[in-house]
Amino acid sequence: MGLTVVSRSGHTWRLTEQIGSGSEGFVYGVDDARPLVAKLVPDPPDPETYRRRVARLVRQRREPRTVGLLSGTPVRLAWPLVPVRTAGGTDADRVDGYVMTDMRHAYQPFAHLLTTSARHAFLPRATWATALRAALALARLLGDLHAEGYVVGDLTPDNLWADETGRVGMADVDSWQFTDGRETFPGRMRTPGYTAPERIGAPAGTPPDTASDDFALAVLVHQLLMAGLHPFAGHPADGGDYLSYDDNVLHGRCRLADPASVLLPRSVPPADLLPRRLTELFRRALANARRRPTAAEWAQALAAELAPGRLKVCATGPRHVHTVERPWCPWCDLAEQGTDSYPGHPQEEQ
Amino acid sequence: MSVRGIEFGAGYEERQPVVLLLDTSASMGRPAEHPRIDELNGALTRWFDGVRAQERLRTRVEVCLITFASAVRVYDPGPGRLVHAEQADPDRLFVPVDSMHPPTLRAEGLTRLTEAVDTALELARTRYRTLQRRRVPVRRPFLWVLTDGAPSDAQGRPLDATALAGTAGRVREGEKKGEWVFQVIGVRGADLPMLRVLAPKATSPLENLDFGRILDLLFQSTDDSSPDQDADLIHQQVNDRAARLARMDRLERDLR
Repeated sequence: MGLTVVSRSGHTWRLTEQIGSGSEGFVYGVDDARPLVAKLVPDPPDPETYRRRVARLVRQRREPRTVGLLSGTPVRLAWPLVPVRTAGGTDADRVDGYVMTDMRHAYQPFAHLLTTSARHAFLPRATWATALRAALALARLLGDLHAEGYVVGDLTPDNLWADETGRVGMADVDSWQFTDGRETFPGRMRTPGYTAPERIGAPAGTPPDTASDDFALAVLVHQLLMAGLHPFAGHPADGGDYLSYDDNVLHGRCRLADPASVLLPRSVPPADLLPRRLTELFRRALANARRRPTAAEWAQALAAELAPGRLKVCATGPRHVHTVERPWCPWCDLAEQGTDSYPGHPQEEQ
Repeated sequence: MSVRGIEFGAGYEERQPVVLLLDTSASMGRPAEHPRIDELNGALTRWFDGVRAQERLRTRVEVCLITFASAVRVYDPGPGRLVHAEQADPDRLFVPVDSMHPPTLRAEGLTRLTEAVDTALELARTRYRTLQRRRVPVRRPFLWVLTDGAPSDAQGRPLDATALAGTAGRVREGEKKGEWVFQVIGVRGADLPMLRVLAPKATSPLENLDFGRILDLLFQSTDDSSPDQDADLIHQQVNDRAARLARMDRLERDLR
C-alpha cells in the first residue's frame, strides 16, 4: 500500500488498508491518532460537481443547521471533515474524496442488529428493547435531517451503524441530496429493497424526497422490530415466481398490509408482536404513499412504546422482551418452533 | 400464510444462487515461478473463510463451483470432490456461501469454456426452478466466468465466433427471459475479443487484479443490483465498478 491523500491546505495523511467499498467509493483507514477514515470516489459521473458537493458539505459543517446534527457523543454522522485528493501522478490520475470520522470506533455495522447469529455474536445483550431504541434513534436522526433540509436518498443498512445500547449513526453523507444557496445537489443512489414504490422503475435521475426516505425508514424499522424480516418478504401467494423485494413492493405483497398476499416460513416472527399503534403506522407506511408517516411521527410513536410500563420481560430470561399489549412472549412462541431470535446466554439460564 | 421447509440458516432473507466458473486449463499453471492457479487457490480459500464476517452475503448467497479444462467438473461439497455434472445430485451442488470449502485446483488441459457454460446454465436453471417450486424467495442466479485463456474445442483448437454462437445465443436468450445474469472476467492475457462474442456487454478485463478483489467485486454486485433490472444494466454496473476498482488498484500499485 502507500496511498497518500492531501488536503487543499497541503496537509497529508497516509492511508492504511482498504476497509470497505460501495458501489461508488472506497474507504481506507487513515494513519492518524484520531479515529479517521478516508473515502475515495474514482471517476464520479461529474468530477467537478462532486468536488463542489464535498466542499459545500465541509463548509456546512460550521453552519447552525449542521452543528446541531453533529452535537453529542458519539457523533451520529460521518460528516466530511476535509476534502482530499490522492497525492502523486498527473492531475488526471488523482482521485477525489474526503476524510471523515471512523464510525467503527463507536459503532458496529447496522446489519449486526438484523440477524440472530450476528446479534448473538456481536451484540449479545441486544433485546427487542434495543431494537426499539435503535428504531427510535434512526427515526429521530432522519427527522432531524429532514428538518434541516437534507434528504438521505439512499437509506439502507449499508450506510448505517449501531451499538449495543441502540444508538445509531450514518455515513455516506456525500450521497445525500441538499441545497446550498442557489445550487441543488441531487441524490442519485438507490438500493433494491429500500426504494419507495414511486421511485422503482422511475427514470434514472428522478430525485428522492423526504417521503421516499420515510418509506425506507419504515422498512428499516420493520426489520429492526421483526428480528430482521423485510416487510415485503415472502413468495407471491398467487403462484407466480418470486422476483425481488422491489417486485413485491410494486405489487403490494406485504404481510402487514395484505396477509394473504405472501407465503412465509413458519419461523418468521408473528405479526402480532407489534403494538397496535405501530401496526397502524406500518400499514400506512407500506401500503399508501400519500398517508406515509413522517420520521417525526415514527419517533413519537416509538418513544411511546419505550415509556415505563410498556415493555415486559419474559419469565424465561432477560433476553425475551416484548410489548405489554401481547399477553404472552412472542420470542418463546418462535423458540418453540425452533428459532429463538433472542437466545439467552448459558450464565443467564436458571 | 405459512409454509414449511424454506429456511436458510436462521434468516428469512432472499436467496441468491451464484455459479462460479473457474478456468483450470494449462495456462493457469503459468508463469512457472508464480502459477496463477496457486494465486487463485489462495484467494478462494481466503475469500470463503472471510465471508463469514459479511452478514449480507452470508445470509443470502448460495454458491456452486464449476471448473473447466479438458473436461468440465462440478464441485460436490458433500464428499468434497470435483465430479462430472451428471454424477452429482443438482440439489446438493449449491451450498450457503459460508459453508463452501473450495478444493485445491490444479491447472492442466484445454479450455472447454462453452461446455462449462452450457453445464452452468442447466444447473442454474434447475436450481432456480426447484427453489421457486419450494416457494423460496429466490432471485435469478448470477453466473460468473473467470478465465485467462481462449475457448477451445475438444482437440485444443481455438473456437471462432461461429463455434461460440450457439452458447452465446443461449446465454443471451436466458438473460432476456430473466433466467440469469452472466458475466465474464478476463484475467492475465485472456482472449477478450473471443470472450466478448460470448458476452458482448458483460466482459470485463481485470488484467492484474488480485483474485480476492475480483470475488469481492462480483459478490458485491449481487447486493446493489436488482433482479428486475435489465441484465445489460447490471453488466454496465459491474463494468463500471470493475473499472473503478482497477483504477484504485493501479494507484495503489504505482505508489507501492
